[in-house]
Amino acid sequence: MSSPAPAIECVGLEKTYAGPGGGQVAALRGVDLAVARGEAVAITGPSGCGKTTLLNVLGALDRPTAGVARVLGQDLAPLDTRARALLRRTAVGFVFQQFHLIPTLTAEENVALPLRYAGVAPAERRRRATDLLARVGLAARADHHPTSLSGGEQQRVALARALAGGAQVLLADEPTGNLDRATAGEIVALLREVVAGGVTLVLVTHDLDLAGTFDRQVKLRDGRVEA
Amino acid sequence: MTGLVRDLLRQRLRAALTVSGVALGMLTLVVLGALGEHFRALVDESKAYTRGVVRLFTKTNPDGINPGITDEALDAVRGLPGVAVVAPTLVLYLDGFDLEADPLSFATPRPLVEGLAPDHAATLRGGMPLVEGRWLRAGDERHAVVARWLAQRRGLGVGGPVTIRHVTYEVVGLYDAPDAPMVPAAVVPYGPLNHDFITPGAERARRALGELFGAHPLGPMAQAALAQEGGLEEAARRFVEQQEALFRVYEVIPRDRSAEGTRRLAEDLRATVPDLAVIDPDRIEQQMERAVALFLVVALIVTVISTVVGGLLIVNTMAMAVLERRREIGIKSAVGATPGQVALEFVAEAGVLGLTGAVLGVLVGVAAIRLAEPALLAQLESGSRLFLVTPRLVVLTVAYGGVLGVLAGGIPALRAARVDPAIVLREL
Ligand SMILES: Nc1ncnc2c1ncn2[C@@H]1O[C@H](COP(=O)(O)OP(=O)(O)OP(=O)(O)O)[C@@H](O)[C@H]1O
Ligand SMILES: [Mg+2]
Repeated sequence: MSSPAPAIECVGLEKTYAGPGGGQVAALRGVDLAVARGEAVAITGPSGCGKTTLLNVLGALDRPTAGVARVLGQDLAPLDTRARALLRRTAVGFVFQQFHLIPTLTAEENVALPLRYAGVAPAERRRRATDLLARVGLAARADHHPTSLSGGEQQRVALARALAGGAQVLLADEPTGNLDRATAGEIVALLREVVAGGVTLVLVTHDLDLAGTFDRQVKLRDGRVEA
Repeated sequence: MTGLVRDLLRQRLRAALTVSGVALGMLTLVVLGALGEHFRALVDESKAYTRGVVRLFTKTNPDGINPGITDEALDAVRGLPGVAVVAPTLVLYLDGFDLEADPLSFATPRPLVEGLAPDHAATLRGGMPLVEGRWLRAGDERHAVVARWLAQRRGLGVGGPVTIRHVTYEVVGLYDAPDAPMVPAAVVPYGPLNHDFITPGAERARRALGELFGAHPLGPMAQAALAQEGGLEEAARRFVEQQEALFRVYEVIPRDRSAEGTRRLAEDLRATVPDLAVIDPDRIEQQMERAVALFLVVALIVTVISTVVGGLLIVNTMAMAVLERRREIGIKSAVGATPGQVALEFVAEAGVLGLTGAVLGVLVGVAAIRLAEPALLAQLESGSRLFLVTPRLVVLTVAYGGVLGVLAGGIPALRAARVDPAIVLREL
C-alpha cells in the first residue's frame, strides 16, 4: 500500500453562493491547500475572506462549486447529502465558536449524539461519552445541561462531541472566539493533546498570536490562499 | 425515546392542545366504532334467532290481492320431504300499544312477545341458550320464557309472574336473547296469545254484525245459514280469525338445519308456494348487514372528518417545532445525522402525538360510554347494550392515531430533512 493520502487536499477549490437578486458571491476562488495527517494548521484572514466557507466545504457540511476537495483521500464533490452526513459522522469533527450544544440534552447526551446516529447501543454510548468527558476534564459535569455550564466547559463538551465518532480531522472555527484568554488557553491545550494523539487540526482564528504557535499558518484573502 | 418525550414536553401547552384535538377526533371514532361493533355483534348474535328457520309470510300478488296462507298451501309445505315442523307464530308488542303515552311507539324499539307452538318452542328457539328453568312444553297455557335482560330490567324470576299485554303469565324459564330489535323478549304459547289478540277484534265484529242484523231482520234462509255457522258469535269469531290469518307468520324448520339445508328448504318452499313470501336466514342477515354497512359508511365519513382535524393540528405543531429547532437540526446534521434520521425524529414525535391522542380518546370515549349508556338504554327501554368496545376497536383506534400522526408528521419532517446545516449554523 502506498503512503496514506494526506488529511486534506484542495486544488482550485471554488465555492460560489447565490446572492440576493440573482447575483453571485464567490466565497472561495480557487483554494490550493494540502494538510498532512497529524498536522495542525491555523487559518487566518480578514472577515469575509472565506474561512468558515472553507471549513464547511472541507467538513462536507457544504458542497464545493468547482475544483477538487479531498478529505482522507475521499473526493467530496460527488458525495450526496447522505454520504456527506456519513462522512461527518465518522471522519471529521466540528468545533464552533458558538459551541452549538443542544440545550435539552445533558453534556453526556450531547457528546453521545454522533454515536446515536451511528447506531451505537445506549450503554456503549454512555461508556464512550463518559470517557470522552473525562478526557476533556468534565467527568463531574456529565449530567449538566449546557445552560448550567460556563463557556469554556461548553466548548470542552463540544470538543468531546467532535471526537466521539472517531474523527481523524478536526475542524475548529474560532473555537476560542467567545472565551476569555485563560479559558481559551485551556481549550487550545486540549486541542494540542488531540493533535498529539494523531488527529489533524484545521483551526480558524483571528488571534495572530495563537496562530503563530501552530505548525503552519495559512492566510486567506478574498477566497484565495495568500502566498 | 426519552429525548423524544423531552422534545414534546418543551412546549407543554401546545402539545397538550394538539393531543386534545387528536383525542377529540379519536373519541368520535371510539363512540361511533363502539356503536358499529354493537351492530355488527347484533348481526352475529341474531343468528341464534334466525338460523335454521325459514319464515313464511303472506304477500300481495301482482293483482293486488293478498290470498293469505291457505290450508292447501300449508299442506303442500308439510308435504315437502325436508320439512320437520311447520308452526304458526305471532309477534306482538309485549306491553301493547299506548299511542297516547308514546306517540312514537312505532319508531322506537320496544320489547316484543312471541307466540309459539309450545311443544316446538325448544326446537324453534333452542339457538338461544336457556340460562334457567325450562322452555315451553305441550300443555303450557299462561306460561312464559323470558329474556334474561327483560327479567333483570323488570325484576322477574322463574316461578314468578310476568305481565304480558295486560295478562299475567308465569315465568318458567330465562334465555339469553341477543339484543337485536327483532328478537322477542318473551316467548309464550301461541294459542292463548292469539286468543287474547283476536278476542277484542271478534267482539267488535260481533257487535257490528249484531247491529247490522238488528237493523235488518234476516229472512228464514239466512237465519238457518247463520245457525249452521254456530250462531252470530261464532260467525264473528271465525271472520276475525280469517282476517288474522292474513297476517299470520309460519315458521318452517328443516330436517337439516345447517345453513346449506336451510337454504335448500327455502328454495323448495319458493317453488312450492310461490304466493307466499319466503324469508330465510340469509335474507335477514343480508338485510341487517346492509343496514350495518350503511351505518359504517356514515360513521367512517364523520370519523375521518373529525380525526383529520387532529391530523392538521399535528402538522401545525410539528411545522412549528421544525422552525423552532432549525439550529438543533443543523447541529444534529453537522455531527452526522442523515436527512432520513432527522426526518424520522420528527415523524416519531408526530406519531407519539397521534398515539397519545388516540389513547386519551379511547380512555375518554370508554368513560363517556360507561356514563351515558345506562341513561340511553333507559330511554330506549329495550336491549341491554348499545355500545360494544372490542379489543379490535381499541387496537385499531390507537394504531390509527399512530398512523395519522406519522402521516401528519411527514410534511414537517421533510422540511426538517431539507434544513441546510451550513446555513442554519451561521445564524446567531
Ligand atoms: N449562504 C451564503 N449566501 C451568500 N453568501 C454567503 C453565504 N455564506 C457566506 N457568504 C459570503 O461568503 C463570504 C465568505 O464568508 P465566510 O463566512 O466564509 O467568511 P469568514 O472568513 O468566515 O468571515 P468571519 O471571519 O467574519 O467569520 C462572505 O462574503 C459571505 O458574505
Ligand atoms: Mg467565519
